[in-house]
Amino acid sequence: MRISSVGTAYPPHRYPQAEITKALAQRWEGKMEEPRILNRLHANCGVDFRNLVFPLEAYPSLVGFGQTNTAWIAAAVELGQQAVTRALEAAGITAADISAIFFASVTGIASPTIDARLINLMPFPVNVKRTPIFGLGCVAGAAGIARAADYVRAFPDQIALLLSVELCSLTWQDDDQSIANLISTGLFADGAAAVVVAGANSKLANTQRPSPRILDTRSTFYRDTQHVMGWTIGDLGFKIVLSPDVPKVVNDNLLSDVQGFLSHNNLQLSDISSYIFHSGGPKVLEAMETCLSLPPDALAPSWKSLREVGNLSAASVLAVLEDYLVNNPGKPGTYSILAAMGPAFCSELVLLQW
Amino acid sequence: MIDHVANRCIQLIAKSKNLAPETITLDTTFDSLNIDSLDKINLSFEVEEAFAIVIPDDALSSLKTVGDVVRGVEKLLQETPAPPPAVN
Repeated sequence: MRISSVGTAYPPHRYPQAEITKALAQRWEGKMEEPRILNRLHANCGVDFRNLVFPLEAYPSLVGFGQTNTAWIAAAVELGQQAVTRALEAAGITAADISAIFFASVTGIASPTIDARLINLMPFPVNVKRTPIFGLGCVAGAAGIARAADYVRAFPDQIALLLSVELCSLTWQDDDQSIANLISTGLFADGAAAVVVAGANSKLANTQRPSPRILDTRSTFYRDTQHVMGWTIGDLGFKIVLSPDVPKVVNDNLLSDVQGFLSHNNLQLSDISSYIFHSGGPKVLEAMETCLSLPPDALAPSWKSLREVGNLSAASVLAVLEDYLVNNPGKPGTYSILAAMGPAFCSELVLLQW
Repeated sequence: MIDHVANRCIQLIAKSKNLAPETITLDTTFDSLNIDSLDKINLSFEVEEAFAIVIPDDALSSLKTVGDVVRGVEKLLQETPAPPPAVN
């Protein structure tokens, strides 16, 4: 089974980080005890630009969960369709070739889900199997690939599609000036990514394009860490839970997770030629670099993605994967680890061979 | 020898974390002192006030050690124009 292609899509309203900070500072004028904290937190998020689904001036008119979630559904369908179209075109197939769709998001809800709405817009088979996933957060990009891999392992002649749409700007909360929300509004952004995962006997099995094989996947749950990250869901929507402990959880767990995973595959860290990691933020990326003793620039594509589009939650690791596939594919036979961590707290690892 | 700027920075850092200044050197990392992003920002305000300087908003993420802060403050002090002479 292989990752055949990735397609990304970003909303049209692209802003320098400082412009977003300025708009939020104006919006929250009088609500913050120390407004300079917002500027400094945002300026040190490692983010230079972000794309948003609405122009900045439109956000104050979005009030309450119902209005923002309705906006989320419309934008998620549009952006999701763009990402899926690009992924399918890159793989040289159409929606009619897809047997299973995994849809992941944590920034809005819908029923019928976004994948169902796309089936009405694109020529997916009516028998396509749908698995909407809500709540995995940032880990869902890696977990989605793992679940799609599970599917095509069971049905090796079939092709699965993962779609992640995250519109984090629609979770901004006007009544929350906590440090967690100030960081969240500086770090997270909007975007979508779709991944074509092909079974070993599918029509994409012998493609000449760079398409790494998925050798193994591993999920690891860290007990009693649910305070580290997530949502508090209230009348106004999703309110961020984000603990300063995130880098510590990474430091405490990632090395042993990766070593155990590689050992299970008769490999070690020195066998890995590239690390396709979720662009969680400067502290998370630094913790990943430190605990795995990675060489300088090992995570350069993740840092670059963070700078250019911000943290897209689940879609981030898929955007980094696209960068590798298009601009820096591994040499044949080399190994990569794709990894993300997210609410629970937990990690998902995917071992790839180019 | 630790100079005035270093001494003052160490005092501010020690005070912010309730530590003895003697336990902090220029090589001490913020991670080892459990200084997180918010601590660093609050500390930056105190350093600005103590030295009458303005720290660029995006400078904090590159500061990993006490020595990084001291060197940054010294650089900003050199760039800051001297106040005009008092007029009687």
